[in-house]
Amino acid sequence: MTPTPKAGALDVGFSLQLGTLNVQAAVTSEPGETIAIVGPNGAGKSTVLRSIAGLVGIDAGHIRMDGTPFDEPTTSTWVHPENRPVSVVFQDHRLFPHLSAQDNVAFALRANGLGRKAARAEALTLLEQARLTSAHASRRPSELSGGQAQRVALARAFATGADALLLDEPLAAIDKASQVELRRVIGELTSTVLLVTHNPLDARLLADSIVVMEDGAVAQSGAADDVSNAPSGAWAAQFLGQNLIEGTADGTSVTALNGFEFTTATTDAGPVVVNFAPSAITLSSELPGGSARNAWATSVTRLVAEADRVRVQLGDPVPCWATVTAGSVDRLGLEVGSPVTASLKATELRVAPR
Amino acid sequence: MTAPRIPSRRPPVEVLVLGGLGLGLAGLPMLGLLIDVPWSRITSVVQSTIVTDALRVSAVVSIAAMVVVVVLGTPLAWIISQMQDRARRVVRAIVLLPMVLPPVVGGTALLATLGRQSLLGGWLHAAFGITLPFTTAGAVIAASFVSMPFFVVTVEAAIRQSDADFAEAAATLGAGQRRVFSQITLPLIAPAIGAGAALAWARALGEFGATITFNGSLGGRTQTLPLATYESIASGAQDEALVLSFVLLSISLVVLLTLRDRWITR
Repeated sequence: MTPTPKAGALDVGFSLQLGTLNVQAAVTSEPGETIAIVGPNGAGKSTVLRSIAGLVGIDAGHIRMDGTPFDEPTTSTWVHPENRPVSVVFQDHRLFPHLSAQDNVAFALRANGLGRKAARAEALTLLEQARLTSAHASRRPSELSGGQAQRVALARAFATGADALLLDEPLAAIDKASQVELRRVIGELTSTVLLVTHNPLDARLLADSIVVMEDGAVAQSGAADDVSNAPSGAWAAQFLGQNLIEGTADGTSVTALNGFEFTTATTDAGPVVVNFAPSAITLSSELPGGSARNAWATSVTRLVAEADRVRVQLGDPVPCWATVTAGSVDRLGLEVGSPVTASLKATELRVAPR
Repeated sequence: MTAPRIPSRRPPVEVLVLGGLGLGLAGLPMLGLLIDVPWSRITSVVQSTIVTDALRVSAVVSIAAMVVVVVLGTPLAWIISQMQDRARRVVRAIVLLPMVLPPVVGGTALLATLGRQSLLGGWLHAAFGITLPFTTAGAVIAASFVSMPFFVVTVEAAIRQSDADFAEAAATLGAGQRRVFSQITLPLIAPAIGAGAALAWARALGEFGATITFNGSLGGRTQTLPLATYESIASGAQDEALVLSFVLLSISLVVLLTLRDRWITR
């Protein structure tokens, strides 16, 4: 059992003019919650993290954690970054180039009051938790791979004992295999986590709630499932509207967690996520022939009419969304509770390790 | 497929002539000096009192000035790098002024500020019995005055280039300003501190105008290598002047070679 954290409740609501971009942010978190901040480039996602960390000041509003204000222009409150119980993992990891991996982590421990010897010993333990060996510990950042460096950076940020970890695209610059590994390490964090990401997979697999930012403002926010099921706006729909189903791959088949078996066009092994677009699903009244090898009988649980199409939510055995034309809905007589057959070509499935 | 080798082109003739003259202006005097150095008598000249005294005074003054410049200049460079734009321009202008100021003006200014008759100098003498003009300590001050800007300009640029991202990261990890500066910024700018110190030391070693104005040219106390060289020329001891110049030229070459990665190779 992981203990429930008591600290790390963020309360952020501010506006900030940054060049031509006006950032208006609103983010709140429960202690221990993982929040994904998603949005297109230049939407102000990193600015939210930087303002919480104290690397940039806000123009109006407030940044508070557990009731303590960090930055509040109306009361002239400002807490220096080193005195805020938050720490940051940057996309470019920013490991100190003149220090070994171990000393990078020890730096954070010493800055928070630990003695030299104790800090170096504790640093080794933390690196182990980030799945790094003592051989990695003695290396300089330039001698580590991108994925290893990012794990050191995560261990270093974690070492501060911060109540909130701010991760700025930590998985963006590293290879696929390292992403899987690092995603697991992030998933094990018990503190509050704010994760800026471009990857729908990260948002869906790691986040309890999702904040969508566009043009400096929050376009949508809420529980991860709610936002994923009903993304508003074109960008969010494309980003979050994909169907993701977790399972285990064995050759060209993937068994979902609930036992449903997909046939895939690629060969994989181990824990994976199956990813397919809602538009890839064909709905019909009977089992189709042809090359659609994945077909199943299900029922409609929800219908959402949009401008030029209808989003259809399907129930077990494969909970997912399909998009069809209004004509198809009429032709098939779809309404909530209707039985229907869904099919999906194997080539429409993308399989990624998780 | 490899691209065809592009033959290098000869610049126009007038460019060659003028550029060649420029190179000659830099190189020929060095050659002339080397030719005229009385090589046969060099050991005996180097061992003469005026030369050994000047070597000792120069070593003491230039090294002491370098230490002063590093100890005061590093914090100063850090402060300047952290300042807001407008204040930074003002402070930087003050610090850089001695770089373009005629050294004799610097010497006069030092005399006006620290001379026995001046307010500050008079008080130092009355309260502590400290006299700076015409002393080795005064020569150190004059040399520090003229060489500090070379150091500060080098180190400040290095801080502003390398510092920001890592210092930010260190602060988010809970490190206060002192820890960030001593454990992150300082190690990262160590090469620039070395280069700036070498530059300042070379400038201090060659210092002439401010020193002679503020401290005169007292053998064994304030007479550095450049001052001794000038005295030798003025008193007709050409061989001495040539040997002293040769010593200074050799030191300058060593400094240049030391700094070649920063200035020449790139």
